[in-house]
Amino acid sequence: MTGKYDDEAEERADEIALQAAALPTLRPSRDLWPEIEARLGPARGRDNALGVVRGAHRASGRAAWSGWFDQSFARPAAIAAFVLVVAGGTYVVTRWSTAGRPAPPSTTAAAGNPKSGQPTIGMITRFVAKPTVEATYDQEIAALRTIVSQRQSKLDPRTRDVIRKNLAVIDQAVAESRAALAKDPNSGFLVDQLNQSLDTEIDLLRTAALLPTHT
Amino acid sequence: MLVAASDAESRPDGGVATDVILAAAGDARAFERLYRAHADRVFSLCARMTGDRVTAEELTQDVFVRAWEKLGQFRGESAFGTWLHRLAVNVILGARKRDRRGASLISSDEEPDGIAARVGHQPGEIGDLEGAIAKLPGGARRVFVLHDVEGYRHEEIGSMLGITSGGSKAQLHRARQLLREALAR
Repeated sequence: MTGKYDDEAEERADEIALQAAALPTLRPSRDLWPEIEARLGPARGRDNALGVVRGAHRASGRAAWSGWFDQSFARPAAIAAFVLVVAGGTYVVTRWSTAGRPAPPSTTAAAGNPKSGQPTIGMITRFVAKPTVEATYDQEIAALRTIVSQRQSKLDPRTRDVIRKNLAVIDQAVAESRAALAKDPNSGFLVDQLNQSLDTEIDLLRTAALLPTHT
Repeated sequence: MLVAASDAESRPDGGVATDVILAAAGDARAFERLYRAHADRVFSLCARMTGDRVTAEELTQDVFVRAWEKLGQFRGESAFGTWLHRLAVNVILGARKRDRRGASLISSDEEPDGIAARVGHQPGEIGDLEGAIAKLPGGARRVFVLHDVEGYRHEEIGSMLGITSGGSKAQLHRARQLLREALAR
C-alpha cells in the first residue's frame, strides 16, 4: 500500500518537474528600458572592452576557428583566404549566372512596363522585398566599420592592411552581386550570393572588432 | 533589393554577437536590443525566484544595469544569454543577502511568502503551478526554480547558494513534496 502510494507520489513529482521545465516565459507589466537607460552610467572599462569580449565571436559557434584564428601568424593569411574563397566564388558564379543570357521576364512586363527590370508589388516569388532587412545589414555593417576604424591605430599594421584589402574584395563582391541582381531580380541564387557576401563582411568586421591589439 | 526573408531571418545569432561588441564599446542602442531580446527571460527568473512581480521588475532593472557595467568583462566563454542568466542569479541572490540585513523584499528561507499571490498567473494547471511555486518557502523555491525550471545541476546550485549539493537535493525534494500537496488540494 505504502509502496503504491510512494510510486504515485514519485510519478506526480516527475509530472511537476516536467511541467516546471515547460513553464512559459513571463513578461514584466511595463517596459523597463526607460528606467534602465536612466541608470546607465558611462561605460566602465570600455577602452579595453573590445579586446576582452573577443570570445563573443567564439560563443556564436566558432570555437575551433577562433582558437586557430587568434594566432597572430595565421590571422592575416586566414582572413585573406576566407575572403578570397567567398568573394572569388561570388564573382565566378555571378558572372556565370548572368553572362550571355537575357534578363528573365519580369512581372512588370505583364504590367505594361517591359523595359523595367525592377520587381513590382504583387510579384509572385519566394523572395520578398525587405528593405528593413537591407537596412539591418547596412546598419550592422556601418556600426562595425565605425568600431573597426576606431581601433585601426591599435592593430598590428600587417593585420590592418590585410583587413583593409579584404574588405575591399568583399565590397567588390557585394557590388557585383547587387549589379547582377538589378539585371536578374528573380534569381534566388544571386540573392543567396549577396546574402553570403554581406554575412562574410559582417563576420570579418566582427572578427576585426574583436582582435586583440598590437599582437 | 530583394533578400530572401528566410535567409536573412535565420542568421546564426540574429546579430547578438555584433550587439554585444557594440554595447561593450558603449553603444546604448545595441544594449537596448540585447535588453529586448533577453528581458522576459531575466524577468521570469526574477519573478519565480522571488515570488513577487514588483520585486522582480526592480531586480530585472538591476540585472541589466549590472550587465552594462560588467559587459567589458564578458569573455565570451559562454553565449551572452548564459552569461546574463548567471549574472541575474547572482544579482537576485545578492539582493537577498542585502535584504536579510534590512527590511526584506525577498522572502526568507523558511517562511512561506505572504506575497506569493503577487506573482500573477493565469488560471489553469500552469497558473496553479506558478502560484504554488510562489507559495513555496524561499529556500525550497529557489532550488526548485534553479533545478526544475532553469535546468541547473545540484552542484551548480550548491555553489550559487552556498549550500552542499546534498542540501540542494533535500530542498528540491521538499519543494516537490510541497508542490504535490498544494496541487492536490
